[in-house]
Amino acid sequence: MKAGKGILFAVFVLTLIALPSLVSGYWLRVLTQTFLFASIATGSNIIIGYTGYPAFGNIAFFGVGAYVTGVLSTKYGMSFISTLPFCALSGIVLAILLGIPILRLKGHYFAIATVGVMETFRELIDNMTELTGGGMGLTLPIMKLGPESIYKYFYYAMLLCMLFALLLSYIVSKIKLGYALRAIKVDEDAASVMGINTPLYKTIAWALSASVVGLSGGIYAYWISYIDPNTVFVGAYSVKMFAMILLGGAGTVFGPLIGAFVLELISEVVWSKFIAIHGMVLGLLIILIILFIPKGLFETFKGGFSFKKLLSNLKENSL
Amino acid sequence: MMQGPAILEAKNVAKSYGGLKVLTDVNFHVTQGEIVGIIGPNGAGKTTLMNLISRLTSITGGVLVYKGETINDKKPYEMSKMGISRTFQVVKPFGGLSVLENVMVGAFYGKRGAKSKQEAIAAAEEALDIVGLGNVKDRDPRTLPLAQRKKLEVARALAMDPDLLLLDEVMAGLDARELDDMMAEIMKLKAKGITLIVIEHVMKAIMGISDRIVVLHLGRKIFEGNPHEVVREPAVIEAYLGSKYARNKES
Ligand SMILES: Nc1ncnc2c1ncn2[C@@H]1O[C@H](COP(=O)(O)OP(=O)(O)OP(=O)(O)O)[C@@H](O)[C@H]1O
Ligand SMILES: [Mg+2]
Repeated sequence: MKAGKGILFAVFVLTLIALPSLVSGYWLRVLTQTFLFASIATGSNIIIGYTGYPAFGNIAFFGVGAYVTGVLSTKYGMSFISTLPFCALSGIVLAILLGIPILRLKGHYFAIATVGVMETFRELIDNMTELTGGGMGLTLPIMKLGPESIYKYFYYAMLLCMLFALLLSYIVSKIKLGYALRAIKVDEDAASVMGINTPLYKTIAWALSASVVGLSGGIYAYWISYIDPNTVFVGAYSVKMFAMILLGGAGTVFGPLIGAFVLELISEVVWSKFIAIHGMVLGLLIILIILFIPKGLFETFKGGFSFKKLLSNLKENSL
Repeated sequence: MMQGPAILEAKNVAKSYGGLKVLTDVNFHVTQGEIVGIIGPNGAGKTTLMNLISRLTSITGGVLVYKGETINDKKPYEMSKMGISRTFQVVKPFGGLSVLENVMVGAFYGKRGAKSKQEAIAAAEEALDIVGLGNVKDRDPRTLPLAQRKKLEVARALAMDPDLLLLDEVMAGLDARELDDMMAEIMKLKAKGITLIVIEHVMKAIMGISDRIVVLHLGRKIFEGNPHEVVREPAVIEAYLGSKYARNKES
């Protein structure tokens, strides 16, 4: 079973590595976007799924990461790659600074506070016109490569980001830290009397989470080559990220990634034709997930699909 | 009985929630190596006292001294590193982690501070065997009956390698045989040198294992003595009868 999973994953990764020589630029773009969301969802799952802190505004780190790369490459002439460590670092530093006051809050209070953080950063960057271009946005340097090569370059960059997120998430789930986070998620008092320094571990979880999200923001900025506050601090991305985590299964290593692939690919194939109702469908989907499969697709249907399970979940949830 | 130094001392300890006084000027000490029982009617403040010792709730008056150090400003995780472990009357298993993993958390983060997974597993398995949960170690604790979840509380605390172990009604809901087993296990822990504070409503158990018993009533210590003295003390009998009488009247 375990070996089977490993082989499946290896095949999956090898396929993704081989794909650019097989598919069109359109599909490369779609997949790159999928890797982006898989990274964000997998990274955010460390604080949301493992630790039980619904960091709804985690996209703040994405926006900041995008601007770190944007500013460093345009104003300071740094190369794309050399800006990336700073993207991850920006997430870590901000999560530590913000975590000290905000991680005292629980549940929806925490969620709302993180949304506040996101809005604050959007405004800040909007107003730091000198550095960030404000509402005018920022145009990043274009790589001296052909369009095909650029597509491939960012496809692989985002793929690496996703694999990094996955590796980090996997390691966290296996080591001592993972036990502490899952204990915190269930009962902070019990975790604390069992010797877990809960403020510290929550901060570590958020910082790790933010490092991945920040990194993905940096790659995104260079890929898309133009950013403004409204295209990187996007509330709808938070919704999407949450839906992906819930769909695949919060607190599992592969759940958010699977959720991202399912949602992003379906949305590309089906709903992109109906842009206007895209958001509505997503909202509806979240409601359905929470009602029928709160543990995610894979945990719920481990033993095969059944309507009975859907109904019994609905009953449990409506209590 | 051998008289060692005091491992824990409560001096005029008080707790109030707003204007509500839950504990008032409680004084007692626990000697290294002994078992101190705490009894008292429902709402007497027993669990609250335990919450103060494990530093889960703030102390509003007096001083708690553990191993010669004032612990009023300590955090719960600091106390656990200093050798205090506890169970919860309302059990708090970590659902989503297996029984074994629940206990591993204690081995990792308690005073034991297991350095590797192997070490944590070994300590956890040992603790589970002591309480007799070895055969359900892979289950999710949410699927266990209450008596077993209570035992899990004890196993988690034991895996932390405590010097002072606080047990809050771990024998409630056990049948006669399980009760005897648990009492025997507690005596074994004592023999190993662990000091215990045991809150219990099951009189047979508390009388059988305690060296000394502290009686709380309405947040005050109304008596302290050995088991024989406690059962003969009029104030204690009255506290219990009074509360029973009150409860009967209510219903
Ligand atoms: N957080 C709180 N806020 C207000 N009052 C509280 C709080 N916690 C406990 N109390 C009150 O403190 C009193 C003592 O409660 P405690 O749980 O310590 O009693 P106990 O002796 O453990 O009772 P039992 O035998 O029922 O477990 C009760 O009257 C309870 O209602
Ligand atoms: Mg109690």
